[in-house]
Amino acid sequence: MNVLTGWLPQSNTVNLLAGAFLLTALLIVTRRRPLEVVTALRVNAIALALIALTVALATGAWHIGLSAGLSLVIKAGVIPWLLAGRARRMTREVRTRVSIPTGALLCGALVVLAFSQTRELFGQRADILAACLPVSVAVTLIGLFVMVTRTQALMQVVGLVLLENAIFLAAVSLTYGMPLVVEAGVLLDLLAGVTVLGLFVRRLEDALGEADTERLTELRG
Amino acid sequence: MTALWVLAPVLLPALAAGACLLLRHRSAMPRVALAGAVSGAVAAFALAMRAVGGGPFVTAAGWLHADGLSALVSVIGGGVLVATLLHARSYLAVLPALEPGDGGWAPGRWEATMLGLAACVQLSAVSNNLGLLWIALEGATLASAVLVGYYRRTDALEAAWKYLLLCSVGIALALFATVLLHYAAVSRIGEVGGGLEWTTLRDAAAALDPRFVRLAFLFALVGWGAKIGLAPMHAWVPDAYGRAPAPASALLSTAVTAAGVAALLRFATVARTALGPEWPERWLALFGVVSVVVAVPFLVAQSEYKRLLAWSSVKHTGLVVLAAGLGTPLALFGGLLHLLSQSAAKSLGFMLGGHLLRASGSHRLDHCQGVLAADRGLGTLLLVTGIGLTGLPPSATFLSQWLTLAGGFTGPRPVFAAVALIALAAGFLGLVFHWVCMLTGPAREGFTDAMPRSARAPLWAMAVVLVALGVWLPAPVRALLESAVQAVRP
Amino acid sequence: MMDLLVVIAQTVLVALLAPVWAGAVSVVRARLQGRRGAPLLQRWRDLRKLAGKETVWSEDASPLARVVPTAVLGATFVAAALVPVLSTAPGLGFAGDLLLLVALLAIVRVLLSLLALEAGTAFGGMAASRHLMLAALAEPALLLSLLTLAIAPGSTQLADIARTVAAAPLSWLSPAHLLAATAMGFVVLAEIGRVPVDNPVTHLELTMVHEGLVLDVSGPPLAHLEWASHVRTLVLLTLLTNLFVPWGLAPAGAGWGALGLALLAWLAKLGVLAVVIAVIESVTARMRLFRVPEFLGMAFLLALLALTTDSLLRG
Repeated sequence: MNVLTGWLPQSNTVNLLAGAFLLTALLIVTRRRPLEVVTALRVNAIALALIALTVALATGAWHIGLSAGLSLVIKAGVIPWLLAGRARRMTREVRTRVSIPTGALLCGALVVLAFSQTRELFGQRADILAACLPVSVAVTLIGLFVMVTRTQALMQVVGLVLLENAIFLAAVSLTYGMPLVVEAGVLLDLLAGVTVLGLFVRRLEDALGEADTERLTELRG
Repeated sequence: MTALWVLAPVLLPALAAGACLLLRHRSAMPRVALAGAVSGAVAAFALAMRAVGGGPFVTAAGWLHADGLSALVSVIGGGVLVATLLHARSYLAVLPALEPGDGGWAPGRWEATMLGLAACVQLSAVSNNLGLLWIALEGATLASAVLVGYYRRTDALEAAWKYLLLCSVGIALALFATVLLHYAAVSRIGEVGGGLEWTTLRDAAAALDPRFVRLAFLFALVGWGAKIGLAPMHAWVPDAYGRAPAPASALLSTAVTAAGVAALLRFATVARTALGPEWPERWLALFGVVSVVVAVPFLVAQSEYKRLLAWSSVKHTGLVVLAAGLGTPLALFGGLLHLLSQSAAKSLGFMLGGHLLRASGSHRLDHCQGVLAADRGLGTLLLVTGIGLTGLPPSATFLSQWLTLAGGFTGPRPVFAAVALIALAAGFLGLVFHWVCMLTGPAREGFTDAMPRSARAPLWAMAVVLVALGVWLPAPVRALLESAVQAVRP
Repeated sequence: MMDLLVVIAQTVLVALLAPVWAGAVSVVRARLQGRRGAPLLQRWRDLRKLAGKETVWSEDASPLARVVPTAVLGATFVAAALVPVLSTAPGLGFAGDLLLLVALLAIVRVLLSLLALEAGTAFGGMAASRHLMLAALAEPALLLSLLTLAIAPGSTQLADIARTVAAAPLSWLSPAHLLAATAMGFVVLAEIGRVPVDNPVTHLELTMVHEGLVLDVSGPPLAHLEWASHVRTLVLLTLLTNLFVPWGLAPAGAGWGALGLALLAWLAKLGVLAVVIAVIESVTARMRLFRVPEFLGMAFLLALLALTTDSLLRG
């Protein structure tokens, strides 16, 4: 497992990219314009794909490289493109259940929690992906946070995609990826999922004039 | 060759789905769809006979397998699909004001989505690779969401959105569980079987690092639990089942639930060996019993009959999961029988709900009184549904509930069984009250079932299955369930 | 001895270059907007012009007002002397560390605010209150992000920090480092009084911060204050580049060749920053004042995260 301990250059590239991954997740929490949020999500996915690519170069495992390419196309290309198309039509700023500064503080607490708990559980790792695992756990929590606190349907989708990105990072950093068929299937499923979600966002916009889930209050009990 | 056996129940509906999307003949579509469903069901039964008779086997280089549990899911999925497709044909032909139009669905899309959902369920049943299992169930989730949002109404849209978001989060957590288990496997036993093969994991479970298996199991419990509507991740259930078209609700609450339960049990099997039975079973029992208890107040104070069915679905799913956590083979046998019998009762119930909706034009319970007087056939079916949902003899749910509880009282966790028994009794009272109100009394004006008599055939078939299994458990069914127990507790 | 010479030389260099850098940003911005813009040395000309003018003091101003501009300039020069510009030689290390640097910048802020109050006009008081509010938010973030870097060398000496980061040229790539750098970048953006936070070319009463502070000062004292403000900007930018991206810094006791290379590297980094800041100024609008605390709060949060994740990962 720890064959890559000595690869300093890769290690630092991966660390930097993991930092970018975390930073863009925090930007998603703090930005107010929908389009900026989607752009941050795109950069987030690019960082993810580049991490996978670096791992592929370091291990020489071609299937990781292929899945890195796939995630670059799907996660950093098609999905943000689909989301940006909807985001451009949103006239309002992002609406949240807790104020943005409070949200940022809570997310900061989540990051610290994730870092300390991951170390508790997985111990101090010495290989090139040491920083990726805590970052992925932190971003998983941030993604859930975004889904819970955002009221607009599109922003909830952004949270979901962020969550999936983080789980992908966990897969890469824990086991250097899953078998290619599985990863490709997961990516295609995610793409289909975002397409379906986008379809529903559109229908919500048609039905409510604006896709804010706070207006969905018909069903109770 | 064996791969074909396993793949036939998947491929036949999938091919029919493709044909429905591509065909231009509008009139041929229902027939093509039905042919796909029926042949798929036949293949599923054949696979079940082979897996039960000839023992479990792995095929397709470790990607696929068949054992008792997959046979059970396969049979439920195949049977319910045929019934619901048959029913949907006449159900969707009549569109009253409450369910206005299909929102411009292209012809064949509905059939294709139902068939695709069923194919995903079948694939999840036979996939030995946990990654493939995840992919199949994610596909099933997407197809289900499309079905839930079939009608162009804001309430249907709300239900579909809740379903999609909660299940997507759930399924993402299940992916995390899969990743964790993969890590546990790769770090201890290497890349054998890609590190994701369930049979390999099961056999090597004792060597896995318990910390990661524990974490993976918890994530799987929450993730797949959200998918099958276990409390506290059940918020989508009443909305989605209540607002989806009746045949879709029937398919969701039976086939998809069975597939989700099976996925959860796959993780539980690995966790049992890696951590000892005590720990995972206690969690299963806890989530199960909480689901049973949570459903009770909503069963008592309820104003819509489809939501009533949905809440009883939460209760039944909880009972199945509880049975897996009670720790005795008898309870597990009862639980798996319950999975089968509640599938008959629930598909009957939801399809019947469709008839009531068409006849009364309302979702409300108090708009559906005096059904026996108004329509004797529907009344009888409603009575059988009530017997099945409450678990009265002679329905099969009576047998399965009592086997589960009896197994529970003799096992290591009788307290959970006792709590479940009390909750079931309370829920029983609520259900009986609503059922008496619906059945008795004078016929309401304008209560006429506009759907043709032939639409009731699948309902009668399900009613017969429900009662027949309660009276007499044939040897093949018994063997199927025993082999499923064997698969979960090797 | 050589080290001390280098320190003196680089301080003078910063002092001389600071107005030029400000001129460079306006040139780049003008080009981006399709104008030719003022020449590079325009700020020096402005300073010379101010120096030749007569000084008028408000009737209400106390003797303090007369001392402040010179004191501000002096404090800023000392701060400049503390920053490793070309070499990581300890230089004035005996005198103080990053805490002193932050303290000197704080003194400058307090003096400026006092000066703004001296004239007794409303604008001065308003600008002073805004200035102090921004400072109260920016300072903790600045300190925290600098302290994140201080963990690895175990020292708060700026020269030690720069040497440690430069000695392991690749260890500057870590999530904590990136977070701290972003936090510091936010703070610097707020501190240099440019577009996202303040607008240096406006004299609208509702928006100005820095201009409001010096509204009642004229002649040579104003030249002092303007020069100090340019130097302070360059000090902060040099801190940002030389601590977080310490490529090309010459080691202590290096020869003329290494120092020359270091000079080139430093100029290149400043050039890049000038372009970046000019672009930011051209494409973004000024933030509303009540958004600024949020912006700086984000910087503080990032710095805090950098500190905690760094110590957690380091173990």
